[in-house]
Amino acid sequence: MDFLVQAFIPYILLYKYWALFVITFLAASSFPIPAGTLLVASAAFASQGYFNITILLFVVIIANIIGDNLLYWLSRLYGRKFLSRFSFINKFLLSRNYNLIEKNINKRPKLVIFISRFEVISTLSINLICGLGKVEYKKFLLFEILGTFANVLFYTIIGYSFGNSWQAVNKLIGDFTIVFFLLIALILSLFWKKVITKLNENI
Amino acid sequence: MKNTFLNNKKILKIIGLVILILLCLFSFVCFIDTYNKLYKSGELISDYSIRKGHPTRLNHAVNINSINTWMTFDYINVIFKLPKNYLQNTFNITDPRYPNIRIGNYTKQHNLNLREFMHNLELAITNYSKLK
Repeated sequence: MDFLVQAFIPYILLYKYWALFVITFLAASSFPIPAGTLLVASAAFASQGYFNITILLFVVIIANIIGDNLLYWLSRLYGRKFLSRFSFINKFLLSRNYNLIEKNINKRPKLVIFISRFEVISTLSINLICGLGKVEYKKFLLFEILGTFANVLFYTIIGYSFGNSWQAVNKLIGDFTIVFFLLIALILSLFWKKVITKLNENI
Repeated sequence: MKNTFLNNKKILKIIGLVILILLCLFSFVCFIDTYNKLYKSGELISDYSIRKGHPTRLNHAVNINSINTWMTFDYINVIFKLPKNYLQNTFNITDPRYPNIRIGNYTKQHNLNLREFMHNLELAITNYSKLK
């Protein structure tokens, strides 16, 4: 959290909506910046009167949508060509497990796209996989927009309602994220074979 | 030979799982502990609770001790509802970037003692709220 405060929040305070736009856009399109945590802080600033909440929502939603779409189209048009230059990535893209994941997402993209909006790494990965797997654009766009609205509103409501306690809330979110990912890792390692079988059955 | 290799692989898997389970439990305990600490210290309070005037949370407005070096003068003016020129006049700030400059940067660039400046800043804000 301290790293975040030192690195990004001063820019949000200095350059306001421009900084918010750039940071959110980068988080959606290329860099794993924890945009959710920053959104909680920005919404808290809005509750303190530093930002206008309507403009904040508008800027963040637009930046997210543009960033997501840019990554989708870049990976759709140039992704395979570019990534296949790196032998270890190429090996992974040609692996059985990756193909299984790609085919499953291609078959049922809606829920995956929607839920992935809530976490920055999953957002970037799913945008990339959807582009590489050439998921139907209309479906991607619709569920990307719905997911973005839900995600932005979720973090904004938390930040706005906790206002001055935003640093405490962010600390809790950080701790909870660690628990969540460790649990996911545990479940995957316990039921890996079942997951693979289930994915195979779905195709 | 093959059996020994498989057995070793199994043992490694079990050790990995046990470590993962312990990590999960540890991080869960940390999460609960953080929640309890934040709740008891009064740091985790929704604005709704403040407005409702919960007895244990009455004194929680924007805390003067929460002023930090990453904050800009502009932000401080907004959260403490200070007139735009109040801090500028109090500290004779001539930097053209005021109020859009971080406190940390300002003290560094003007060779000021950060601790002393922060203390004076807190005093200035307290004095203003008393005057009001």
